[in-house]
Amino acid sequence: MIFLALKMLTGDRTKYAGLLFGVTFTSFLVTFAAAYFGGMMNRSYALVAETPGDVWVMDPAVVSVEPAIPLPDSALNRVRSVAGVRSAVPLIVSSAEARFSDGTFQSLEVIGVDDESLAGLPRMPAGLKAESLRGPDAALIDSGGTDGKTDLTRPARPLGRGDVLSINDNRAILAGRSDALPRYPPRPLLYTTLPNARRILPVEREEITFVLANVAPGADPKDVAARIEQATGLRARPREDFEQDTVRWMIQNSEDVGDVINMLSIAMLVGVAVTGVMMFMFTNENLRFYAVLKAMGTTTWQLVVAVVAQAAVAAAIGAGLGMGLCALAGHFFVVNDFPYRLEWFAPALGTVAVVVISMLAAAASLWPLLRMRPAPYLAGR
Amino acid sequence: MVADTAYIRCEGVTKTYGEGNASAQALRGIDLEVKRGELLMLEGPSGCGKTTLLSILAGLVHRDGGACAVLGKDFDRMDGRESALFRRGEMGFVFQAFNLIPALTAAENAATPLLIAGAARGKAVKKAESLLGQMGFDQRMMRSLPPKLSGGQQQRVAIARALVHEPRIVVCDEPTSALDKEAGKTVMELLRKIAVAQDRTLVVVTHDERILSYGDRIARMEDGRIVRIETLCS
Repeated sequence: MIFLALKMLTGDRTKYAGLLFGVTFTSFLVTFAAAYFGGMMNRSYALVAETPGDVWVMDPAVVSVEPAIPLPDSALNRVRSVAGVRSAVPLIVSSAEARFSDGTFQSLEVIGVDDESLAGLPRMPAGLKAESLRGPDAALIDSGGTDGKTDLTRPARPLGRGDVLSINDNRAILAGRSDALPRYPPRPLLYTTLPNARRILPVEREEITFVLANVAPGADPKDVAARIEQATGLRARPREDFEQDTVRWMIQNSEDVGDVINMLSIAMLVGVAVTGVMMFMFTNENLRFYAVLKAMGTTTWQLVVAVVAQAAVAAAIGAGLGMGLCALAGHFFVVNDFPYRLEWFAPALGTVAVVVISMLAAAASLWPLLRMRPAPYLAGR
Repeated sequence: MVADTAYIRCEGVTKTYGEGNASAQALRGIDLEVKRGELLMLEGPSGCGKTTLLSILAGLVHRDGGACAVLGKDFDRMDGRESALFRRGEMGFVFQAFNLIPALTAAENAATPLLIAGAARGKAVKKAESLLGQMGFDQRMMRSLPPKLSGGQQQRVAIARALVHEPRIVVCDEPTSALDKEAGKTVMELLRKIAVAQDRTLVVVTHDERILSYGDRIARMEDGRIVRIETLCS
């Protein structure tokens, strides 16, 4: 019976193609939207991911890398004094308007790293060393996932070694371009040492944003974080937990999440509409043949199995095509440095979407089939 | 050869479609008996109730009154599944408009009842091909899709489909109405030769006077009643 059902389905090429299109479209768009979302979320905690530190210590009101509330300098020594902490370094994360040599302004995220250890610097391209930051007023520029925001317009070229930026009437001499993980939201980055950051940023009473603690060998970062919180009153999060906190904060606060949800909704609506209509039309146009099958002794259950088999095969092929297309699009995105990360939940969401639309499509086409009485069809009425 | 055993026995069967002023009485008390190995022609003008009677005999429509037993079973006392299983095993159908499934080859169409019953595809198609071979089909024709076949060929496939599972009763609704004279003659000869020869019972609904002579008896219907039954000398 399943053989008959599938032959009937694939025999009507137009509707079969329409059905596959609906499922493929949904599978592609849902998986892609989820992977795109995964890419954005992955980039949201790029600072945490590329900065060493088992435990991140911050102001109690801070719940992600985004809203920065400074800590007093004393926080560093208080953290260092907690049992289980092997070492701790300060990190400044702030923003500033920089003026380029061509006169243009650009907002930058300024990241000030510990000048002794230089812990917190991103990957360096070949030929550029971290020690280059030890030069007077030295800084590294990084696109941070943006396109063209770290370029000069006159002459048109990327900022690089030797270029001088003016930030709050202080100069920063670029030692080169670093290769940091792209950020979400994308923003140009300026890496420099802690003293330089203090020099170029507006003077504040408290300036350190985070204290990055490394735990002693054998110590559990969760336990150490708990001890830091107890001893200092500050918020301390193991690296992985802080990454998750940041993702959670982004989901709750980013407007782009709404866009992704809209994208998913449109994909589901289009998928249900196209697939449901195609399945319904296919069944409706073949009612005469289903009537023949019923007259010849096909049970209602066999008809249900036939329709479910048709929907399932269209779902399986469409899901495969959609996810294959998603992988291709993902490759294009990754090569071009757009956010895309195929986490486990992306194909899982795509599969769930395909199952839902296929079930709805099958239900839509079962309705006329279950109401069908064979006699009028067989009498040619 | 016609035996004494009655495969179909109906008494006082009535059927009305619709309700109130819009109702139409299709059958007004049908008494009919069809024996094993018999080919009964059910003839009459359009709207006289032939197809309704055939549908009741096939368990596709419920009667309003009277009694009707097919191979000793009453469709009105079966649930949907029992009724389907009974038709699957004991009945074959030849429809007016062939009703072959366009996506299936001739052999696959003919094998449909076996596939519905759960037979393996290869085995079912092989059996259907053997039957189509008896009907003059070559391999190319067996692998053709219905739209590529002539009307006569399509109806032969439909006959093979009605017989492939070796049912005891075959019902045919206007099997020659879409065919020319020659093709109609071939189809009736085939039904006579292959179906009746194996002790099957055939009920053929028709208003085609040219094929009446192929029957063992002719039941003439008018206005929902059987008004005359003629026995033909074969």
